[in-house]
Amino acid sequence: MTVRESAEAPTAVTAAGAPPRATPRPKRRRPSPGWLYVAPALAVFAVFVAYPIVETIRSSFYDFDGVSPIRDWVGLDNYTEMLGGLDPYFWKAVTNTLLWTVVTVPVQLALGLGFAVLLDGALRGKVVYRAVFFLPAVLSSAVIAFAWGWVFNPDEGVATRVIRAVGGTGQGWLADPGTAIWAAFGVSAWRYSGLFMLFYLAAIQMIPRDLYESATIDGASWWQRVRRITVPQLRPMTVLLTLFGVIGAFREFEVVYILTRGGPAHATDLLSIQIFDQAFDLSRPGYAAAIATALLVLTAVCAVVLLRLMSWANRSVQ
Amino acid sequence: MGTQKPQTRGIDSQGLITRRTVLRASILGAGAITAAPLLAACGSDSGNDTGNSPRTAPSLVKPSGTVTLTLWTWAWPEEPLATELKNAFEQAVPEVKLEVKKFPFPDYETGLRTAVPNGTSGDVLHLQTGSMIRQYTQFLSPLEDLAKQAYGADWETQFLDGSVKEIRDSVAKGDPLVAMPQQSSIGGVLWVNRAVLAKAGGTVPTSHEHFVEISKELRSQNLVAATWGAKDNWPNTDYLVQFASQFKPGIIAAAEAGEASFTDDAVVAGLNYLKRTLTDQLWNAAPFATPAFPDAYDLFFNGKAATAAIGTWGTAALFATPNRLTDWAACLWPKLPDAPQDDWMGQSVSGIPQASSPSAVRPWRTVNVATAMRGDLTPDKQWAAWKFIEWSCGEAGQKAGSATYTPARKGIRPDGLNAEWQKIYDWHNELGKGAERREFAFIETRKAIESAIAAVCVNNADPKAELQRVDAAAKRARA
Repeated sequence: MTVRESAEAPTAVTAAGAPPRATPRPKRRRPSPGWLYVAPALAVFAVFVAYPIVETIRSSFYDFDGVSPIRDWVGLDNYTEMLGGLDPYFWKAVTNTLLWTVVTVPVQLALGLGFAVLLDGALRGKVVYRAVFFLPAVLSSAVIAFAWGWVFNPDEGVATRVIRAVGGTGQGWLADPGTAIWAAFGVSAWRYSGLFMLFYLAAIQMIPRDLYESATIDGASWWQRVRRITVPQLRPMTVLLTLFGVIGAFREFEVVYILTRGGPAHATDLLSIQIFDQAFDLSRPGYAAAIATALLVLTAVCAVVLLRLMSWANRSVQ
Repeated sequence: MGTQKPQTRGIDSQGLITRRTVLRASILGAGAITAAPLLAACGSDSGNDTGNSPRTAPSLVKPSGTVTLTLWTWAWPEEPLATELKNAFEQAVPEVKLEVKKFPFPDYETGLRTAVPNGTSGDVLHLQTGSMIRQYTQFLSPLEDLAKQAYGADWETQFLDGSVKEIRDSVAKGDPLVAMPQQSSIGGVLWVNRAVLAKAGGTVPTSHEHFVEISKELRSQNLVAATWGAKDNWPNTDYLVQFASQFKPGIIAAAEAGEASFTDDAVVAGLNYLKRTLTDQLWNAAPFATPAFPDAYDLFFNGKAATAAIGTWGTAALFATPNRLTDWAACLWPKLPDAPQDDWMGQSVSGIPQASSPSAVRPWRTVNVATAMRGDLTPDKQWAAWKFIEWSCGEAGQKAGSATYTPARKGIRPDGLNAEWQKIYDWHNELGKGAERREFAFIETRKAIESAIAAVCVNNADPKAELQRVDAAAKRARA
């Protein structure tokens, strides 16, 4: 109905009975050059990101082993198994992944901001400190995992020796489900705080100096300047880094896998580890695809929320 | 008032994409990229929606010239033995040039998964028994008739007891034999470092209580009674298979086949005993944070542990340093408390001065390397592939390889053993008659058991409840 009405509108006559003046034909819109510029990137995105995602979602409705050409359509069975409690470790992995995000991201932000604020001042040797803090971010995951594996080694590890030196008994940090995930959190925080520091340092350079000068003239202390000027001005960067942190937390795999393999007793299982185990250890790519789809949904929800937050942060600074 | 150009959503008045659109696209892209690598791994499959391709019987044609044969393996020796073994084969079969592609085991598993169905793997493959052979059966060539022709009608008895059966059990009922036993091991035998053990009395453990005493004494000297790398999981199922068998031989294999339940009292008792070994501190500190290789076994190799569960698969380690042949010996895990008397060993004695306790724990056996050939090879390649298998599993190949691995053929010992270790080596193979099957037919069952062991040992979970999950996983796998 609506379509017909709008289609008839141009043929209506004017009140005076004269035929309506032909409206000028709208100019043919030329394709935006912007889209042409991004077309190659979009093509790459379509082939290497969009297609795998679509194929993964499709695969999640099948049961297959990745070797045999036979694929059985199972409808929502993989999702029923995953969400319906038949897989005892899925919800544990979801909880751990969310815990990982909730714990590591704020710690990385806080440490990154703290280091940046400290190293922005007139500190002797700050270039060296910056390099030292940033170094873990450029090391490979395997190197980091092996290095920390030695730190936490229950026999000879540095952490174990320190505890023994202060009179404690040697602790199997990675053997105890109560401590293993916190040890892994610590490694993650250590690794990325330096990277966050670098971003914050760059953002601090962009804050107008006159704000600090005015505040100093008004008698604001160092701490008040940090709290009232630096932190609010860094809000957009904080949201951006939160986004990076959340994405990094959802992608976390190598370090935890090498350190603990998701153990002991699934204490450090993350969704990414579950996906790997199901696809490659258990030869159930269909079920792994269902978990990957769940991770995609989780990531998309977080991305939307953070997008809104970013708009708010940008507005609040302007 | 100027006219305003109608704007397309996300395009500004100059026809450029707005910052907001770029930002939105970036964030959504970032979200997608987060998941994409994880997704891509499980979304791709090489197959289509068709059924299995038919497997044809091998038709061997001797090549007129030289054929290049590719072997894919994770179990090929290091240099210089690698070249020596290759040369030995090429001398025996001059029509074939052998190319060996060796992988680390995890990469090998991943590589096979895509290469075998696509026909891009090696012509000859080394496989593990159990789930690995089962997975690729449809792509492999039947070998039974060729084995009969090459080795005679009694060919099966020429290999260590249970070796061929283990391969037969790896495939579904009715499927042909698709691999030959090349390396076979008896494992789960405690190898002993006499010097370390001497610091706690020098006698091998003859009961659990004795083992605990030895451990206490050694711990006071910063040494370890036994090593366990539970982080790697595979030693955990090995121990459970052994311990459960003391209460009911063959119970784990029966439960996997659906002929018994994993909640059987024998399995529960075995699992409870495994947990007790932790409580009683028989092991190195924090086994569940310790990988088997290198950490746990290094404790033994470096003289910091009195015992380690090894077996013939570790024979090469004997030759790593000259004094090991005299320093090391072997025994069995002593009888478990509350386990029934079971004189399965008969008159077999341990290779060390003191006999193991009566009713000691059974070891396990495995064909750790089976050799197979792809089913889609050209006739001349099939000939070459079979010649390699025939040689590798025949007497000449087994002898040539015995410097680095444990032959699956009876009567062939690794070179370089002293008189005592020759006796110990033969004793291992004698024990094979009473050994438990180590491998699982389905990886799902193995993973479920690994989870159950960790949950009970680390989280104090209820063994029965955990083993019910194993039952469910095994049932799903069989289905």
